[in-house]
Amino acid sequence: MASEEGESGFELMNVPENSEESSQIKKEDKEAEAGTSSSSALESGEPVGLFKTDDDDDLDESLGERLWGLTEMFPESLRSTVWSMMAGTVGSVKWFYGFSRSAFWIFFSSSAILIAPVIFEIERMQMEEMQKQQQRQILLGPSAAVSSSSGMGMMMPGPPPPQQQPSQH
Amino acid sequence: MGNVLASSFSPSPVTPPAPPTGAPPPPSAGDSFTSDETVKVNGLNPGAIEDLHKKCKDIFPVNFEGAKLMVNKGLSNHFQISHTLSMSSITPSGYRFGATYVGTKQLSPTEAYPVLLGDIDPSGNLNANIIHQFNKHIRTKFAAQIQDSRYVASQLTTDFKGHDYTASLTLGNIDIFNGSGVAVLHYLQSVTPKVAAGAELAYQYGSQVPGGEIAVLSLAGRYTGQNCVLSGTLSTAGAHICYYHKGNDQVQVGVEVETNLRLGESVATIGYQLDLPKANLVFKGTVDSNWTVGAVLEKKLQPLPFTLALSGMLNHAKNQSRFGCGLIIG
Repeated sequence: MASEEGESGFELMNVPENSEESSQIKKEDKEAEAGTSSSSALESGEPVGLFKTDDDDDLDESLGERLWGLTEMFPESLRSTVWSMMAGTVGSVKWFYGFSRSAFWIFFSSSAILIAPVIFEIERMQMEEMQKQQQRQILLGPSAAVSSSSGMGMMMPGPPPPQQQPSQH
Repeated sequence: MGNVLASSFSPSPVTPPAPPTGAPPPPSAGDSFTSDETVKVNGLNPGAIEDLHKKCKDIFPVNFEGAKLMVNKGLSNHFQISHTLSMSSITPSGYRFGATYVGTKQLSPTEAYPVLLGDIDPSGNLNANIIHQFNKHIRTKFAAQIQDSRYVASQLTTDFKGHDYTASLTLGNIDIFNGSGVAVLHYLQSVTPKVAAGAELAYQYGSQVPGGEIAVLSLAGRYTGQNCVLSGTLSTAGAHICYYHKGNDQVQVGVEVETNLRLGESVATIGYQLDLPKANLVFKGTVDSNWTVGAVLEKKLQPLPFTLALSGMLNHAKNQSRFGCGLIIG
């Protein structure tokens, strides 16, 4: 029943279109002689039929509009879900970038004030101790270096190996 | 002996209405009422309430801004002078001359009384402290600050040190002509060798005060553990709790929470102090709940008697930073 009605409606639709089309072709012929543009098809207000292959109508739709039209094949809920997921991902990436900027700035500037001077001074102190040890080792022999090792965790394992003396390098 | 080892920074004032004690640093000779290097108190005397939070507060750095050059010279066993040049864009730059005199009355090898401290600049702005100990029990301190030829602040403190208690009375900014002033009464009692409890009554009168006079009572307590100290004061105006912990010879940590019920705000601060005697370094750092980090580094540059002080403070919330450097000679 419905299909019959649809068909009949279609036939009814086609009939006036055909007559309009024939009149339009006659019009176009006249206008082609007159030299006017093909935009008259739009001005006559004619709906685009499914079987028409007019190039004028294809140029009216841009590529983006045609791709957008393709999405209409998916259901509305799927479309909205995918859209919100995409927007959420983009938004959260942007937020995360901004947050990580602030976090890194706070972390590094605070550590430059709170921790860096202490670390530098401890390193310098350890290097000075090591240099003094090496000096003593050079001057007084290997045994002096072992006995003079400080309690800063710089234990020499056994007698120091001879290749540590710079004179041998 | 007699050589007064001036600490770098002066102590904070007694109560909010009382005037600040000013720039000149007091000598360590004035620490006779407080515990020394160890956490345990000397005998049973708990010390004064002013020093209740002292162990914790000493950990926190005092940030300064700008450049500071200080030359200390000891002229004799009793007398010491200092010249200070401070250059900064925040506080007005200037030169200050300071003098310290330590008297002849000696109570112990490290203390001598009376002690007179003064600090003056070329415009005549003066900070002066006089500390004297009359006998074993009574000590008096007078501090005055004069700016533009008038007394901006003055404070007279009398401490009575008993067997296991300390009572003190402080009168501040007593103005006879305008009838205004502040009086504070402290009492701190040692309940057990580890626990001390006390109270403070602050009274302010004058025409500026709503109602003519106002009094605030607050309670104080302190618990001293093996290597930690927990102290707190509680009043209708707010609460102030400090916790101090000594990790080892090199590391000390302090936590402080201060609440002001009138303004409806509270601040928590964590501070730490690192002592590296091998590197001649003392480093103090602090992190605040106001999104502020600050640190002060003091290094002795051997073999000459120079001390380099570097201070940095960064406020993340306001995006403000203050840096200072100082050199102390002698």
